Amino acid sequence: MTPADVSTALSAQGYLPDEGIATSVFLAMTLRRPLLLEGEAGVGKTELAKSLAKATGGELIRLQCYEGIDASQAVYDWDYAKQLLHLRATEATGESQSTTADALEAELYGERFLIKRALLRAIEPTEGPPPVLLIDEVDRADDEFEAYLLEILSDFQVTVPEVGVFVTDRPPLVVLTSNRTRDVHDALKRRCLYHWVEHPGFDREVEIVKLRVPDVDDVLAKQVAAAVEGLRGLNLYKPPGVAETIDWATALGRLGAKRLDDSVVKYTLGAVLKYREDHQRVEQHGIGEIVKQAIEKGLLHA
Amino acid sequence: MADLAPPRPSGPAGSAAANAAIAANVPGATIELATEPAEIAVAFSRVLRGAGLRVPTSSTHTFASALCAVGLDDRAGTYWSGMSTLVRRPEDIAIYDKAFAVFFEHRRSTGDDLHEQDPLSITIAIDTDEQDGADDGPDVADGDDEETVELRFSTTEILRNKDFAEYSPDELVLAQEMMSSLKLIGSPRRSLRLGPARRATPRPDIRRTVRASLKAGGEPIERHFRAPTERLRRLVLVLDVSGSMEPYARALLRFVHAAVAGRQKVEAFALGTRLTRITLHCTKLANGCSTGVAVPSWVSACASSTMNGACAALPATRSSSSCQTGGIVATLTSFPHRWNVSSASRIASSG
Repeated sequence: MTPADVSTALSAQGYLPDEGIATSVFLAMTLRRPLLLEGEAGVGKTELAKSLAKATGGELIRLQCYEGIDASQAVYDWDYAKQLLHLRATEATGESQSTTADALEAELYGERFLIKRALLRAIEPTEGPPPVLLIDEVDRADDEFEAYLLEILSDFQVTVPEVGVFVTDRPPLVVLTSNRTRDVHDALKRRCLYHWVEHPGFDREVEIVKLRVPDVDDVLAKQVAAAVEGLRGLNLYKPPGVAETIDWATALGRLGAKRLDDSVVKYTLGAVLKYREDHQRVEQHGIGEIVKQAIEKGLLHA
Repeated sequence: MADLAPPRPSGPAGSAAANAAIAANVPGATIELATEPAEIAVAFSRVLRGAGLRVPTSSTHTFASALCAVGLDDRAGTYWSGMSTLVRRPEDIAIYDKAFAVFFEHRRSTGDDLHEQDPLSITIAIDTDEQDGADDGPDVADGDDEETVELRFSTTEILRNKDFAEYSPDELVLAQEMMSSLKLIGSPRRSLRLGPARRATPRPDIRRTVRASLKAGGEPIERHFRAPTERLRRLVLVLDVSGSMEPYARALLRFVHAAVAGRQKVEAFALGTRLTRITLHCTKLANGCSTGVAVPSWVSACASSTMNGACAALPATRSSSSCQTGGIVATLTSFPHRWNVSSASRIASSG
């Protein structure tokens, strides 16, 4: 396997990686290291993990982080209701008379009543290719959870006191994403390979639009990519990412637009810009100017 | 990264130029002819460290493994291997690029230019509200090829850094509008009371659990828990303005008003020769009784203290407000009469 193979495999799944991403993914697979992707929202970090799962054929296990996430939501929990039901059922059938209290307790805390959450499922032995574990928006989780994550990612091992140790010899392919709302702790970063995902260049963005929105007109795809590139240069509060470019191209396609013009941009700008201040900024700059530049750039690359 | 040349074979750092560059960046370093990935990794890590990057040994080790996996015959592969193993912040990418060029491409570099910043010319443009709608930007075309960074301020941004005393009446009205939209909440404190918790905690909520169990034939299938709730801290505001500082008084009064209007458990005092409780007056202001620019007469009347007097009075204020707030220590914020934006750090907050 080479980075080029990774690139080909991901392209086949509808994700066009640049050389940097392909090499990072290749290294993550070869060195069995987690891959930490940072970048602006909407540059395709989560999408990479999804495409990777499709390309490797492994199951995608997703853990969405949020403020206050803890082990019971991320690793394992006990199915309390089911335990209770089991207890009542043994009482009703008279089974509890024939077993000792210790045996019954041990039964209640068996694997049967264990709810396996994302991290535990990811290190379970599986048939076929190892799963892809996506730990999304790790910057939103608390410091304590990050420390816990560090422990799991270093030896891929979880101890459930009542059951035993879960350990895998085939670690999952781990992809962590962060929007950089806060700095991820250095210890976690050291454990991972790091890649800063940039907005794609013009040509790659055109390719992505054509791949993701197959019925879009060639010229329109170029104009949309050029217009989005122009918008990114306007110092907006939230510069549009690739996800917005694809949304916009889809919206324009549905409206039957073949070319960009002032009115069509004005009415579909909501697909690209999600803040009122950004809309005002663009209107102040002039929609016509952006369209003009986009058309010129589209012609240049025709 | 756009300037990445097409992959071309690149020899390891063996040339005299690279060694000189390394020696320039790493004082006292003696770099042998590096031919093995491990040696290259170590040497390159040292260059990066010399350039100011934090490269732990574990990263060097990972880089060496990455080089083994990717191979050394490909420039792009080597570049991206180093990028993903040695760089951990986007801010470090520029340093990495320069160090890479020095080490692997044998470009000459002095240690200085790793930290060098290009000169920037900064144009300051000020938007007024009238111009906001139709502004084509300032004329900056001087035939100058240098990159120009344009800074733009709106009128509200200017107000943020302007001395209250220099406000024009219009600006004062604008500032008051902005202040009235302020809501001062402060940091809440943990209450002793327990409330319903969203997640399992060590404190079961027996009452709610039993109530829920009625629906399940007496089985406590749905469990409820309790956790400490949060409460607003009590806030005591002391407005210390002398009669001669009326421009500040007007503006600071609005701040106090914003604090009183936005939350509960707040007491406001004006400090003069005596302490005047103005909480109720502020509440009236908040209810829209007076929105004029003029300072209400009661503030002028009570505002004649000096700074020293105010400082001496603070502990007394604190104890009296503590009495009022039931002995619970409150956040005490004073607005001294010389307070302005540049000395914002002087606002004392204790709690």
